[in-house]
Amino acid sequence: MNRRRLYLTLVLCPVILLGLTVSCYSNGRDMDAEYANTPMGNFTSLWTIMDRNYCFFDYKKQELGVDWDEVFDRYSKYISDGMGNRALFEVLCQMLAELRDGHVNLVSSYDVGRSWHIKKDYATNFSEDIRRDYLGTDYVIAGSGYYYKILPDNIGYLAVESFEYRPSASRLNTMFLQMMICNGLIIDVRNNGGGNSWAADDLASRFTEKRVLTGYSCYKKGPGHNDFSKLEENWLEPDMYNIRWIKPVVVLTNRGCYSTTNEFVNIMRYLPNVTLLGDTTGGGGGLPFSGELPNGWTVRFSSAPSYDASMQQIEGGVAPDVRLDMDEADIKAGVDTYIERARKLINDRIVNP
Amino acid sequence: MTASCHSFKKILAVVIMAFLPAFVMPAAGQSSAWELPGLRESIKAVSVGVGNISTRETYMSELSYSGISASFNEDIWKCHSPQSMFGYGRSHTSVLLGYMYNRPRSGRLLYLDFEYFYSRGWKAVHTKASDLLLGPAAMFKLGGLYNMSGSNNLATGEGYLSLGLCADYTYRFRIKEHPFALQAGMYSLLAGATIAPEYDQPYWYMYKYGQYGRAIHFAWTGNCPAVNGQVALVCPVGKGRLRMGCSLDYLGNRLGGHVTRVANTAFTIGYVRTFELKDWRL
Repeated sequence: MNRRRLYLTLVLCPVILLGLTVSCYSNGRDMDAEYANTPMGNFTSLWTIMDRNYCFFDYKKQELGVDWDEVFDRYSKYISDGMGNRALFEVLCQMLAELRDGHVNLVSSYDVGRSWHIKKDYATNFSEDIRRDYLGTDYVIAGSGYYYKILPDNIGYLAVESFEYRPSASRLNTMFLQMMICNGLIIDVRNNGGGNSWAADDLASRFTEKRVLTGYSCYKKGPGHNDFSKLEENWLEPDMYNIRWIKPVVVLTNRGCYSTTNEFVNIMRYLPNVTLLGDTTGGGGGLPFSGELPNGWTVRFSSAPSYDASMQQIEGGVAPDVRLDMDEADIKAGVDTYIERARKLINDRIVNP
Repeated sequence: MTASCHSFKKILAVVIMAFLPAFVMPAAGQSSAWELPGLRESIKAVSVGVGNISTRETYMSELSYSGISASFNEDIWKCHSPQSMFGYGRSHTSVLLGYMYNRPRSGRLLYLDFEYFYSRGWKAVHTKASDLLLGPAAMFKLGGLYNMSGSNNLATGEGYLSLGLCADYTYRFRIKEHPFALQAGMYSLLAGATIAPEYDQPYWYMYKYGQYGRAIHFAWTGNCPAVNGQVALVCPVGKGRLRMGCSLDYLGNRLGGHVTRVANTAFTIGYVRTFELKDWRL
């Protein structure tokens, strides 16, 4: 009996081991070609990472005329084996800049490649000095990047410099309690480059009494430029356990509103009593992810796109309800055209609700 | 392999070699270094390991990292019923921590993994010199990679619930009057379920939208090879037994449009103890 078992085992074990070895070997083989750490290898790797994972190619082709295959042909001519790292970095950054996407960055040990077209091609519509004058020195800090005060005409002013920090519910409650006497609230998110989407949701959820559809999201489910998953609805839930604000709100926007702030502005436009005032936001409607080149440089890119409630792209920004530019004379006089217009909007609404 | 890894290994090897003679002086009095547990007996082997770990992942982009690992392993063998078909039980628990660099040393990864499997063994071979236990096993594995330079894809996870095959072979021998045992054990996944995101599916979306269904895949040896193997030498030291050897953990899958692979080889050292299970029933 033992001998039969021994024979059986001697036959079975090699068969199983052989199967496993073949399986491990086939799994270990490269599914995708691994690129060499050479200028051309790094160039091809970067182009391929973007080609397979970047989510806005169709939109960029439509808006900017970017043909990614043509971009490969054009920039590959600048790649040679003898080129140095800095030259390679420059060419790769120029290639990525074709997409004009602030979420696309190339990170090396000595520099971060970025596309700052939103800061260069459009009016700033913002002055840090003037805002500082409005805030004075007696403003309240509700958390890092959250500053507020009550303006003389009894209007609350909240400047959100960044959504990196997520204030606690009690801090937001304290802020709304202090501004309870105000007739309206101005939320200034100009030049806010984004941050944590939870922070934006936390703040937005204080301005609605009911569940609101604010947009859709999806992700890439394959390497093709149009391989997207089905759209998932994004709903904003009211914060039923904390203080909510139902008085008029004016949100000040400019091209510097990017990424999470772009998303915040998109959410706010669907809420009652909210008016968007200023310039179209900068965009950044894709959730950024990162990949790595053979030489260790990392590339960040938009991978999962978001849409508004009408299923339209917000990558190009969110348009305001009331379009406004900063007035040069106002700037010289130290007056913020946006804040003054927002005060007027709120005061008019109080008189003519 | 990095220079610091090499130097760390060298130091470790010197330390082990220095203390090895003290450990490997087998007690001649013991009759055997390893026997299958009898009824109401339990054998527990505890070991720690250090070694080399490497990973390759293609989620979002190609990542190839390698580095050092530390592990803790516990194996328990029990005899439930020597007469029945699968009368022997073995449970294996391990925790593995890895710290890895990419080739240009510009990026770092942390890897943490918990693994448990339970198998029932059929005494396929039992002679004076050797034993072979073969049988089915169930495995649960949960782990994650933390990319210290990632963007919103800082962490990727892995989870396995599977059925597999386990084999334990022991060969007993003597050098002069000193008893030794050489052991080889292996677990391999045959079929089960595992998590792999659908191409670029963000892990965050799985939670936010409840998209787990798209990330759970049927796994079998062909698309998801997972092997845990170890070879160890057991020798009595005083009243106890020392167990040292090497282990291999291989885990891979090519699901959801990308490849994930983690391989860990380690030198392990620990002890073996036999416990007698008291029967408190009246």
